[in-house]
Amino acid sequence: MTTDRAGMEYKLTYSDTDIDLMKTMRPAGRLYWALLTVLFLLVMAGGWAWWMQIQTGIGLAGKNSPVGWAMYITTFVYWVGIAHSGTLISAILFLVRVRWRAAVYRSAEAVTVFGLMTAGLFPFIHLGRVWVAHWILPVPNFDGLWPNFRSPLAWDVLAITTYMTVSSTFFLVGMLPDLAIVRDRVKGWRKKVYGFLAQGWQGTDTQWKHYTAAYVFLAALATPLVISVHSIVSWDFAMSIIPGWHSTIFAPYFVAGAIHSGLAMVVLLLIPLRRSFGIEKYITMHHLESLAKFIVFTALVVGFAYMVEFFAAWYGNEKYEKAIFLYRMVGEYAWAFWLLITTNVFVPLLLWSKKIRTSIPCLVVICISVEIGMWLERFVIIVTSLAHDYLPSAWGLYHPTLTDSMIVIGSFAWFFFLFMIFVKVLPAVSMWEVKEQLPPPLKERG
Amino acid sequence: MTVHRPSTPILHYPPAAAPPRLRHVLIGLTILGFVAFLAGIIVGEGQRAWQIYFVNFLFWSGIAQGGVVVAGVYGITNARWGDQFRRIGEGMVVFLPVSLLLYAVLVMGGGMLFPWLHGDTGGKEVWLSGWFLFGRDGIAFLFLAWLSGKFVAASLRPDLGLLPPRTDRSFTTWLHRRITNGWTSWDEEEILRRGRLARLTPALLISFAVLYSLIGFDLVMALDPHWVSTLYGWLFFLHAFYASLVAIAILAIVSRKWLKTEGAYSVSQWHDMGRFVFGFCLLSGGFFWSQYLVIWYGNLPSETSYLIKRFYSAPWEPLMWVYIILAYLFPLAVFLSRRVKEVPGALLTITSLILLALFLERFIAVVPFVWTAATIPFGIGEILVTLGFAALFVLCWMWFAARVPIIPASAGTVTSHH
Repeated sequence: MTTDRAGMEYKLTYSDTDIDLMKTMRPAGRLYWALLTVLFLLVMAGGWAWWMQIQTGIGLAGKNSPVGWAMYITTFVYWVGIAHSGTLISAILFLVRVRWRAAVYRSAEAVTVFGLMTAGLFPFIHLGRVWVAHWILPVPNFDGLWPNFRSPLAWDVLAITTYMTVSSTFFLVGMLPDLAIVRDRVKGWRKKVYGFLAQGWQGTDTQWKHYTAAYVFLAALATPLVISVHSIVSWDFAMSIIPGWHSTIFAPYFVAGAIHSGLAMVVLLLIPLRRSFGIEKYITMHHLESLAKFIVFTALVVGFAYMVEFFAAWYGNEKYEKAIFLYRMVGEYAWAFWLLITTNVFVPLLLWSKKIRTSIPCLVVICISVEIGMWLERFVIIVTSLAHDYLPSAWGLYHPTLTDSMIVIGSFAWFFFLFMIFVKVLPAVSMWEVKEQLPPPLKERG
Repeated sequence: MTVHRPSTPILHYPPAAAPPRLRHVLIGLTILGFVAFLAGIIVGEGQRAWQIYFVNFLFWSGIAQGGVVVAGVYGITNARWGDQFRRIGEGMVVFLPVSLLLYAVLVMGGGMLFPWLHGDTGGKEVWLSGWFLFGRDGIAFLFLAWLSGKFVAASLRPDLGLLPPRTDRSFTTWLHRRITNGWTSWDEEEILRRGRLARLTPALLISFAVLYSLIGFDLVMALDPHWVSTLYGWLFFLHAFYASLVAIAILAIVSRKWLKTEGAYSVSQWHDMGRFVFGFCLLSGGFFWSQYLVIWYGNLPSETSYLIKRFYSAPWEPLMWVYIILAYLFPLAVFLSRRVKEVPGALLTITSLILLALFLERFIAVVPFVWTAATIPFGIGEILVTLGFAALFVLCWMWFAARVPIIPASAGTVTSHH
């Protein structure tokens, strides 16, 4: 297939684009509804498990003393990480003018928004007594509460809500011209809904002028946010003096890991998307390959970070620090450690091979491997350090229960459920930016 | 802006020698720097002489190595706007063999800089023994210089074949022939170049990140063998990269006149360069902050000694603030303006200040470890040694620019509509 620098086929035209890319919004088939039903049931199962936890008490989850942060916080950090790819692909690649982003960024932005919507559930689930959730808000003191503004947990709330606000705005603003295209092509109540969402977009020169300025501004605003959010999440751990957590490298290392898992998730979503709706001409192998190359890079960064952490623990010669890193390799959770190293670093390095990174089945397997690896990475960091800190008398183990496992599985179902709804109700590939990459429809000579 | 790519390769910007007066001044400064260093040792100021030598060695070697890496980054990311800049970075390779000689000299002063070499190393007697420490870092420098040389030779090959054949019996002619041996045609060589660089660039970038982290841990962090920061290695190589980037911008701007490359750069390319520097200002600022905040918050005595000495104690505190303001806060504020990034004069001013700040960073990182008096050891001797290193670095780069087309033929010519 011949593709241009944006990765799309040369022969595409403006009119093809609208027709092809709106295919995703056509009435759904049976397979779609079947899949959506399964996801819905899994979400319900997760919701039921949460309800049982509220009814019975937090003891239904496997977390305990000393492992007070377990599956919920692991999954929270994982989903915040997933939310990173959207801004990376959308904002950063926009600012550095990478043309192939046009066909894939909308889905990536959706991953950001839905990733944050999923992550946002976990602090509430983790709390146990969710009816007093407002106590965690970093608001001025009231009701005798004294929120600790020096706590990274309070910074988390601010950072994630800011990121959510900016990325949602960026997501919606980026869609305005496409929503207007949809508005002009549908009838009845849908026209009203999309008309409202399009906010009176007519595509005038003045609107484009303001729109472009706003888009650049939002991209520039989102870029430092993407770095700061996961840095702050990493500081939930690094600010403490728990062995294995207190490490200056945590911020860049968490950000790299977040991008790693986020990119793999985007690939995992794009592959069925392009296949199901026949839009391989727009989301081509070039796009998937470019994302795969990024994954190789992030695998190298996280692999290097693991090495540096072990080196620093050995070099620092501090007995508790050395003990925790040894424990990770040979202790009760060694299986998780070695599995994460394999799935997160070694397996994605197979993507060096062009043959492998241009094979769809290989890409799917490797991206699933990265997702497993990144979840396990968070798990190992969180659980092993708490299970095995300073005092042997305070050591303890964590075992997952049916309740917390169901909630975690439910969160995955919730994320995919949201994405599937998105694909049907909003344009999943940016029509206007794809058109920008195509040759303009000029009158043919002769 | 329209970029015209030549169907047949034309070297619009052939190599050009720098004005003789400039070369003479730089040679004079290099000699003066060398004399000042020797004088420092002879008059009993060995500690000061070695420490400023060490700071300059780290700073200029880092820039030279980072310059080649920046060129690799332009290539691997297909950043075509950087075609006009990448060879400026590649030109810094000439300093790397010189830097190996400077390292050999540095090893002689190791005892002055690493007084613990025969003392307490906190249980790391083998890892931090003199022969092992300087040996492995020497191998790291040697390997990086070799790999960079291979990278630059592969990158230059298509364009060197376009130059008129040399007939004199000089080192340049030998090198030229060696690089262009078996040269067929520019088109074919250009395809081969891409293939070779596709293999060499990842190796170069990975080696730089790993080995410069090691060098950062060994040569700076280990100045206090009891202090550990996991991030320090990354911060060290990131600062080298950031300094190289601003050095490339500075050289591109100041050399335009004698290399007659004014027409090679468009407004949008200056803007892109400014944006690139701005991005790395944010990134390295983020790294710097990440290290500071975690140590400050953890408040562990084994870690805070580094911060207390530099951030909260005389005489280093004001210097630290100058560094923070010039390297991060000032560029962060001024680079928000599009205009500033588009005007070479403004870009030159800002990047020069950043370069100064990054020199200060190396100074503040190294000297407080080894200098115990309550004064900042920066006098006329230090200024002369620093100028000597800077002059030697620029001379090496000018040697390259006088022999190699500094704008690659593949970059084409740029016409700006503004």
